[in-house]
Amino acid sequence: MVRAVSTAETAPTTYGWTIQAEALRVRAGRRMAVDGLDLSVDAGVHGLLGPNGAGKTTLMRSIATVLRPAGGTLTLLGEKVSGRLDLRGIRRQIGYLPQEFGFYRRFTVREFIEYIAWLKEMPAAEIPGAVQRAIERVGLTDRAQDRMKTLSGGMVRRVGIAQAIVNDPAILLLDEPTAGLDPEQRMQFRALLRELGTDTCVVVSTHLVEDVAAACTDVVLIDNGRLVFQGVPADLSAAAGDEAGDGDSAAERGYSAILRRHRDKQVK
Amino acid sequence: MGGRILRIELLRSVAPLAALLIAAAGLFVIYAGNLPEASWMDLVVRQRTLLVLILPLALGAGAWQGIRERRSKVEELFHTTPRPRWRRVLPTAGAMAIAAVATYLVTLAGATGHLQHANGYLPASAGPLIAIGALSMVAAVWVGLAVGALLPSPLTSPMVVVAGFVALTLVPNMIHPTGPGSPGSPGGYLFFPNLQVPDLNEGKVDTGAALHMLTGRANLAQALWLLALAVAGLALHAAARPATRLAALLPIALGAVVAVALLPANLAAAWVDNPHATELTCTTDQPRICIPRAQSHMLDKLRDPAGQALSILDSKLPSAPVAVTVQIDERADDTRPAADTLLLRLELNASDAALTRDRLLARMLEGGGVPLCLSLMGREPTSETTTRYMAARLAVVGWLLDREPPQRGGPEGALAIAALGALRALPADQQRARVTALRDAERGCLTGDRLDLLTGSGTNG
Amino acid sequence: MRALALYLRSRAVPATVAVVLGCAVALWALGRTVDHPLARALAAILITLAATTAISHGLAGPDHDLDTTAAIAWPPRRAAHIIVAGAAVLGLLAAAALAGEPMTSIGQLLRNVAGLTGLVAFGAVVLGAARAPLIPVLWTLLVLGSVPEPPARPTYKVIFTWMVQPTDNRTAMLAATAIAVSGILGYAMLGSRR
Repeated sequence: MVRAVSTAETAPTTYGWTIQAEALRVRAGRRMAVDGLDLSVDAGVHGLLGPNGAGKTTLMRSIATVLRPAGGTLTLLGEKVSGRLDLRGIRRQIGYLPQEFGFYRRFTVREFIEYIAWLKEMPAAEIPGAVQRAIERVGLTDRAQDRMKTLSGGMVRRVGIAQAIVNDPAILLLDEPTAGLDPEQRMQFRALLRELGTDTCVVVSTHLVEDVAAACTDVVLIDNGRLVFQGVPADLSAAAGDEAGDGDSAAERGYSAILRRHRDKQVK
Repeated sequence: MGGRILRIELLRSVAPLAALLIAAAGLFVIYAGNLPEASWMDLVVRQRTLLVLILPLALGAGAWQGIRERRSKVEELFHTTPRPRWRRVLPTAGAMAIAAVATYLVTLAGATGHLQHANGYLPASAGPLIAIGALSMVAAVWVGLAVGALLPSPLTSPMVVVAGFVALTLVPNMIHPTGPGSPGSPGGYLFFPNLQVPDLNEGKVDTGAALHMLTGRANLAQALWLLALAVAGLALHAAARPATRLAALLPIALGAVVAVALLPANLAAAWVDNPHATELTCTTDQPRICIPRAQSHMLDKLRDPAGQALSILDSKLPSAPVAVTVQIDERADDTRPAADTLLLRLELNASDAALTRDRLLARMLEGGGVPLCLSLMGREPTSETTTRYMAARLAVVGWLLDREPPQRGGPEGALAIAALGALRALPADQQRARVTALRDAERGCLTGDRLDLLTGSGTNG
Repeated sequence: MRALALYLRSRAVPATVAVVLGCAVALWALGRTVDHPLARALAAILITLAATTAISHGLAGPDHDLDTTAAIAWPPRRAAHIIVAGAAVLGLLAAAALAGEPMTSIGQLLRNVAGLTGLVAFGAVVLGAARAPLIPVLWTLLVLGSVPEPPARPTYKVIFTWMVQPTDNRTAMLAATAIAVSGILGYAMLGSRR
C-alpha cells in the first residue's frame, strides 16, 4: 500500500514519550476518578488492567481528549494538553474506540469508516485506500457494503476497531475492544494488536487478563486512579510467586496478587 | 472528499425519506382540493399556502436529523476527532437543504397535474414566489437541525412539527382580527412564508392570483427575513459554544429589522396588479387577434371563430372590424373599441365548454361585434330593459349567421326569435340598415331601446 | 412501589409528563385568550395531538434485547402502560379544559385522545417508539391542511377526518374507537419495533 506521507509524519520525533502523565488528576462527574497518576508509555501494546471503577475508562477518555485534566500534566506526542491548546494536531493522530461505540445505523460499513476518516481530516486522496485497508485488517471485506444495522455485535466491534485504526494513529486507544468477539476473532485481533504495536502506542483497556498476557508488550495496572504496576506480561505472571492467589492462569494470579499487596499497603 | 461525504449524507440521512414523505403529503393535499388550479400563478400561490403543512414537516425532519448524533451515541467518538463541529455539520446541512429545495420543486412539478391549463401564462413574478418558497423550506430544515441538536430528545421532532403548525396557523389568526386574508391586514403577515392572496377584488368577481403579483420590495423583505432565519439556524446548529450560539441569533434580529423597514403598511400595498399579465399580445398572422397574456392559452381556440366572425361581418355590414381584441371579462369597462376592432370579452378562466367554436362565434357576433354596454344594463339582470337589450343583441347574431338566435336559457331567447322574425320580414337593405344602426348605437353606447331600433315600425325605420 | 418508580424512570416518564403538563397549561391559557371559533377548534386538536404523541417516548425501554429477554409477561404490562398513559393525558387535559373556558367538549377530548393514542401505539408497532409520532402527526396535519370544514359525508371522508368531527358524529366516534382498540391491542401483543 503506497500512500502519501505528510511532513509531520516524516519529521523526527522530538518528544520523549508518546503518552506521559505526571500526577494526573481527571474528574469523572463529581468523583476524581484518576487521582495522581504517573505513567509513561511509548510504542508497543499496553494492556490497561484494573478492577471496576479503577479509573481505566476515565484515563482512556482523558488521553482521547474527551476529558480535560483537572490537575497534573498530560503530555501527548510531546504537547501538553491543557486549557487553551488547539487539539486538532493531536487529534489527527489519535484512534479511539470508546467503551460504548455508537454508529449511524443507516450507513454502510465502508461509508461509516470513510466518514470517520473524513472527521479525522485525512487527505481526501488517501481515504479510499486507508478505508479499504482498515476493513481488510479487521476481516470485514465481505460485509463492507452492508448497512451497519445488519451487523452482529462482534462485527460492530470490529468496525469500531477499523475506524480507530483508519488514520494510522500514533496513539490508539481501545476501550474493551474484545467484548463480543468470538474466540477466533479474538485470536485474529491479538495478532493485529501485535502488528500495530511495532510503530504505534496502543493502549488497550480490558478486564480479560489473558488478552493482556497474550498480546501486550507491557502491562499497566491501576487501582483507585493510581498506577499500581507497570511491566512486561512476564513480570505480571511472576508477581504471583508461590502465593496461592485467585485465578486460573499465572497472569490472573499475578494480577490479583499485585492488587492484594497494593491494597494491604494502603491499609497500613 | 466533502462531495463524497455529501453524497453519503444525501443517501443515508433522513433527507431522502423526508423529501418523499413531505412531497407525498403536499401532493395529497393539493389533489384533495376539489377544483383544479385555474392558472400557473394560482398554483404557485397555492403551493406557498401549502407551506402551512410542509414547513412544519420540514422542521420536524430537520430536528430528527439534528438529534442523530445523540440518538446514535457517536458524540464522544466525534468529539475526539480534529474536524471542527461546523465543518462536520456542513455536509448534513447541505444534504438537508438540497432535499428541502427538491421537495418543494417536486411538489410543484407534481401539482401541475392539478392545473387547468399547463400551457397557460406563467408570469415572471412566479419565479420569486417559487424561489422564496424553496428558501423557506431550507430555513425550516436548518432551524430544525439547530433545535434538534439543542434539545436532543425523541419528543423534539413531533413537538416542533406541532409547534410549527401552530406558528403558521394559530398565530396569524391571533395577531390581527381580520387575519391574513384581508387586504387591510398589516404587511407584517408577510413574515409568514405561507402566502394567501388577500381578497383584492372587492366588489368585482374574484380572479384569484392570476392577475396579481407581490411587489419586489415585499419579495425582497421575505427573502431577507427567511435567509436570516436559515443562516441563524445553520449557525446555531454549527456553533459549539454557548457564546457562539448567542451570536448565531444575531441574523434573526437583523433580518427582522430589515424586513420591517421594507414591508408595506398593509397587504393591499404588497399585492399589486401585474401589468404584464393584462398586457395585450397580438398575432402577426391573419386573423389578427390581440389577447391579454393571462389568457394567451385560449388563442388557438379563438383563431378559427375569429376569422369566421370577421369575414361574416365584412360581408354583411359596412365598416366592419378587421381585428379581434380580447378583454378580460372580470376587468371589463365601458371603453368602446375602435371601429376596426371586434372586442370580445372572455372570462379570465373560461372553461373549455365556453370556448367551443359555435359559442365563441356567437359571442363575437353579438350586437354586431361590439361588446355589451355595461351602462345600459338594468339594475337587475332580469329586468325588462335588460331582457330586451339582450334579445336585440342575440337577434343580430341570428341574422348574421342566418340561423336561429343562440339560446342562453333566459327569457330573452323567445324575444330574440320573435325579433329576428320581424327583422327578416323587412326588405334586405332595410335589414342591413337596421343591424348597422344597432351596431353603431352599441359602438357609442347610445341610450334607447335596441329592440325598437332593430324591429320598431315607425320612428327608426 | 420502588419497582414502579424505576420502571417509570426507565421509560423516560419525567420528560413526557413535562410535555403533557405544558400542553394542559396551553389548553387552559389559549382557552382564555383565543376568540375565533375556528382557531379555538384548531388549538384544541393540536394541543391534544402534542400531548398524546408525547406518550410515544415511553413505549420502548432503553434496551430492546434486555426487555424481550426479561422474565416478565409483557402483553398485559404493555396494555396497562399505554392505557394508563392515555388516561393520564386525558385526565390532565380534561382538568385544564374544565378549569378555564373549554375549547373542546369532554366527549371530543375523549375521542381524540383515544384515537390518537391508538395511532401512537400503532406507530410504535410499525415504526418503533421513536418514530411512532409520525403517524398521528401526519394524519392530523393532513386533515387540518386539506379540509377547511369537517365534511358530513361521504362516510370515507368522515372517517378520514374523525378527529375534527363534531362530538355527536357517531361514525367518527366509531372510527376513533376502532383505531384505539386495534392500536392498543397490537401494541400489547407485539410491543414496540426496535
